[in-house]
Amino acid sequence: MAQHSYLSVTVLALLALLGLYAASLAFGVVGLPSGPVISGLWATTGLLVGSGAVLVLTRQQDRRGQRLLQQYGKELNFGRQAINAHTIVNVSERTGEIIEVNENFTRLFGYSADEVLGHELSFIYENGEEDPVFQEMMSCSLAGTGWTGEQRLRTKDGAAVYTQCTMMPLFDEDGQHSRNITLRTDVTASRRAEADHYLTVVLEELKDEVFIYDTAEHVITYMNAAARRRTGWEDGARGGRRIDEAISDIDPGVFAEHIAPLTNGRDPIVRLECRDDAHALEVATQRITAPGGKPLYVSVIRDITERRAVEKAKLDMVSTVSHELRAPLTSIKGSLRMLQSGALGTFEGRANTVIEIAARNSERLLLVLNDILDLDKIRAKQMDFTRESMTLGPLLQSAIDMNSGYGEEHGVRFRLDDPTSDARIMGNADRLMQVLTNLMSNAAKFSPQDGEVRVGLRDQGDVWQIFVRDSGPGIAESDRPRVFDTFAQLKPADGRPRSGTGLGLAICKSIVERHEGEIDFVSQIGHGTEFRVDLPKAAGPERNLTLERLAS
Amino acid sequence: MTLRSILHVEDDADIRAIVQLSLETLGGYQLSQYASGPEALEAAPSETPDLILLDVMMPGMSGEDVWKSFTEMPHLRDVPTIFMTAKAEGVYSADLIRRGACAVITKPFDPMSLPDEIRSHWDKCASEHSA
Repeated sequence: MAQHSYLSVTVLALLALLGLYAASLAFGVVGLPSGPVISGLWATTGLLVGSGAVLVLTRQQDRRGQRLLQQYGKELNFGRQAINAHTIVNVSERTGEIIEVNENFTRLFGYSADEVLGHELSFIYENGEEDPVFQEMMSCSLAGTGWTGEQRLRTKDGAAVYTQCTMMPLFDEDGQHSRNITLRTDVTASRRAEADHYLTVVLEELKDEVFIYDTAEHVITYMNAAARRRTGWEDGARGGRRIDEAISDIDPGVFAEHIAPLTNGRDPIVRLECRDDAHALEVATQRITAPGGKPLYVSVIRDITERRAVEKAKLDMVSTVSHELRAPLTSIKGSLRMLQSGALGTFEGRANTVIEIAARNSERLLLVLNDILDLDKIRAKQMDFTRESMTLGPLLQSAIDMNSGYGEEHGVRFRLDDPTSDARIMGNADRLMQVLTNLMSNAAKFSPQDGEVRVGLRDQGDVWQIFVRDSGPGIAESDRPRVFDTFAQLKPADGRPRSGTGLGLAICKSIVERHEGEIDFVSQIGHGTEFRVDLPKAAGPERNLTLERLAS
Repeated sequence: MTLRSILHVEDDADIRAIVQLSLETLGGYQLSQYASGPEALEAAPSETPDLILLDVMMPGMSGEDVWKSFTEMPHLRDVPTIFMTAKAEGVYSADLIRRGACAVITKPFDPMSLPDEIRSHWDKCASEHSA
């Protein structure tokens, strides 16, 4: 076909040349002897043949050009399809408005073409129009310089995507820069793989031991360097070993019990303390879902030998200090008490005053000592803290009976409001009594002479609220953050200082928190303060049991 | 039966003096005091107290050790034993009582009320023993 068309073009071209040559002869362009008629005839014939041939030739070339154009168009389209299939494409005006996006674009970013056409592309950047990368792209777009690099973008639903991006200027037939085409490739997967690799390295080098194993047989599929080091199992020696083999002193039954709460989804994470030779170990196990939906267990084992030793040393020290301080205090207080009693003879005037001062201060010293020890024990979770089902009504009544003497000393009366009979919680009566005593003695200390302190209960849905309300000077709002701090003796709103160790409310807070409860207060300067203790209700009323207990 | 004689073991001399003033002078009891476990054990064969009062924390031989040795002596085995401790933990006291101690008194104690306190504990424990 091509051969044939070349031939015909050549023949026609020759014809045209011939015709034109004849015409030129006739017009005397080329000097030849001739008469006017003959030359006129030659000229006409030559012109006709020549121009006819040129006409045909031009047609022929037109067709060929079109075919070539079609060919190029096809190839161009082919390339364009390939680009469209592979990359994320958008074409924008030099000034930024999007005029075309391909399917990959709408699929990746989650916007429909209608949503984006005519807009600037800022919405796919982390910080929209303010995003420095977007601004850089815009200035390159205007300048027609193009841009290449990696971009962290976001989809319509906010997910991060990483793309490799190339923007190129497009020029129109006049050579004017009118548009930009931007091609992007989604490299999120490889970025993620890099991140995964990074995490694996971190996991591998972690000081804690990490074991990953299946949920059915507990066969280990991964252990990090620390885990391999302690067990002495090299990578190759891992095959088929179970997690409970990794801790020599643990009974498989104990381990099964440890992870049982994970199987029914009751707890997201479980902890176990055990020993391995001379080491104290803490095992924390979590159930995770691997990509692909397969459930796995991850156990992180931490060597807590040192921490345990430090804790024990601290408790031993507290115990020693307690003993060392209490022994001399026993003698001092005992001696003073006997002197005061007059059993060993009587003193006159001022002597009684100084004995009184010494006795009062030894009492104060003992209170501080007891408070420090209590707080320390509560915080170290060493305090006896058995909780049982109990009702709050009788507790409030006995708190009032116990503290009425102290109230009288300050000229204050305690009154019980609405003693709800059925307020049942899981609590430690002794510790809650400590909370009430602290709150009530504070209330008494801060109430005016002949004042009244109201103690009561409120039903607050999920919790029972104990309140202790005084009519004292109130607590300034600015003091709120420090009220429950240790040794937080705030300046009372009336400026009159009260005695105390500054530990009472810190102890209350610790005790209430051990009950999964909350302590707070509301106060109005000049009108008084109400402390509130919220304690979670116990499930199910045990009315008969309560009545039996009260009866006995 | 009435409470007359008390055997007291306490390493702190000042506390021994306070207890002596309290129980002898105020309470009117007959008191034998020892500064350590070994000292008390040496004298034990000739002692026939109605009540034993032991400090818990003592260097060398603890109050519990002394108690254990006394229970191996037939004439002291059933004598009500009261402990004095600066350890305030309820758990510890409860454990001693579960194991057969008559009572646990927390230091610092009030010397004015100590005689009465000891008497009431003894009344309870002695009647349990005879019953």
